[in-house]
Amino acid sequence: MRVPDLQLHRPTSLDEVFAATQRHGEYDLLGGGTDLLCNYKWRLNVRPQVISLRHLPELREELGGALAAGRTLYEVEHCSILQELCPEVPRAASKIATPLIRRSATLGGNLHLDTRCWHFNQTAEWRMAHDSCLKAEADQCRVQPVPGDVCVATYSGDLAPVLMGYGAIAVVAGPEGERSVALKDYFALDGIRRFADRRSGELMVRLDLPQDASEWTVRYEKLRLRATFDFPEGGVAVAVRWTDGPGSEVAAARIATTAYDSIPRLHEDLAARLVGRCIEEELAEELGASLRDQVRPMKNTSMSPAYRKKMARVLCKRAILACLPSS
Amino acid sequence: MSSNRRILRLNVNGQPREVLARDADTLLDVLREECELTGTKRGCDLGTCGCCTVQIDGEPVLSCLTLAAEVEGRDIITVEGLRDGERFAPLQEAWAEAGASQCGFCTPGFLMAADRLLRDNPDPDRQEIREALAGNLCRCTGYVKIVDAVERCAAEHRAFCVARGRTVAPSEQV
Repeated sequence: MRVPDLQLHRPTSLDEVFAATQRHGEYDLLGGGTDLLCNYKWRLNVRPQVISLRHLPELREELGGALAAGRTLYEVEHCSILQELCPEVPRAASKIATPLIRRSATLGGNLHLDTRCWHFNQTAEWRMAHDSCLKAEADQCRVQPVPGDVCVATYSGDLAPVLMGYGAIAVVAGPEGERSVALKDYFALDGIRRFADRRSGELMVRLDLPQDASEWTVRYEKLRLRATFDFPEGGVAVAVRWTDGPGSEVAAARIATTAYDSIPRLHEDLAARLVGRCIEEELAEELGASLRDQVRPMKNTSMSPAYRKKMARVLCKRAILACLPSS
Repeated sequence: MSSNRRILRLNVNGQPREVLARDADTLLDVLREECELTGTKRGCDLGTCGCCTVQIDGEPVLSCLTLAAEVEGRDIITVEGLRDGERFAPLQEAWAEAGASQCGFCTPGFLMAADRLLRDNPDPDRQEIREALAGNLCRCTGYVKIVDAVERCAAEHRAFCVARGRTVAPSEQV
């Protein structure tokens, strides 16, 4: 399979990126290429201009309290500072795809992973034979065919729920300067539009972790068919801050999911039920059951929606219990 | 759209190469069709199988998902560059001795990934080998002998170091 013709731009500064984005209306940003080039080979939403982000020092700054978006998942996985500061981020990175993909794929790329669907991630020939889908060439969704529908393709990034657990802030740069957005507000519930309030020419440069990031205990549980390569079929991250040391009463909590919607989603109502209580199996079971009732997986990935929904309970319970020091 | 082409200056297996390539050409396209280095295999072409693995500045990378224009000026090593002149690399010898190739199509990718593993960790256990090679698929399913081969190479390398009374890189073991 050949990548269709395109013009590649290799800017070496953010100003050059903004100049290129303003000059060309239709473009894609290229990070590691492990998502975009697969889509291009399958003729999925190919843009004539591609702007590489590989040569930007701003996206390659040292990992630490800030996570530069251009760092590879391999670098995130093996960063000793992150292993101290927010150990679940490198651990979640180690569960993404394969070691070879992690050498190229980037942190920013994982957060911006294109939403996936059984009817979208197919060859051009397959899509032609099946009337394609709303996210590609058709005018109606094949998963939820109702008039005026939005795309329900599944968000499959692993790092977003974990970073939401740590309260990460996305820093985006554009021609008008930098601005910060809480990661939980970064995404839009539409598998095509994908990002809320995305302004022309903007790109994510880094994620800032709040000062108290190291005080949070975060655990991420992932459902997938094989122990390697697969995208999550469901993912739950649970974050807790203890009142008085690990295992004590929960002072603050966050619960986030991936692969159940077109966005990674924070479940603030569920997390609130952890606050002021000590973690016990019964509580974990109860919250897991509530999460199962909240998630609405679509029939657009390998596993059945019913199974993925059932597993939301299991993943949530496991992640809550894994926060306990004895685990 | 007319195709965008440019002359790329690549450094492949220690040799400078100038090739005319489309902006959209992957490193795999250029290695196989312009450089005629067909040891690097085109398998799934989507990053799933690892057959196209090469090393860029020493790191194993999927050449099917890397645009050639993105690696200008960097050191590219293909499976042809593993051997030292007329001699196979110790890892290649171990592969042959362990019978780790069946149809052989996946072998170049496995060799490039395993070579990096042994440079990072000269004494891996079987689990570490399996994890490091988790991005490479063998459709003949000959994984046991592949892990055996890496283990054998590591053991021979250790014995070599003991005999010499010093630590050397696996690639220097000739």
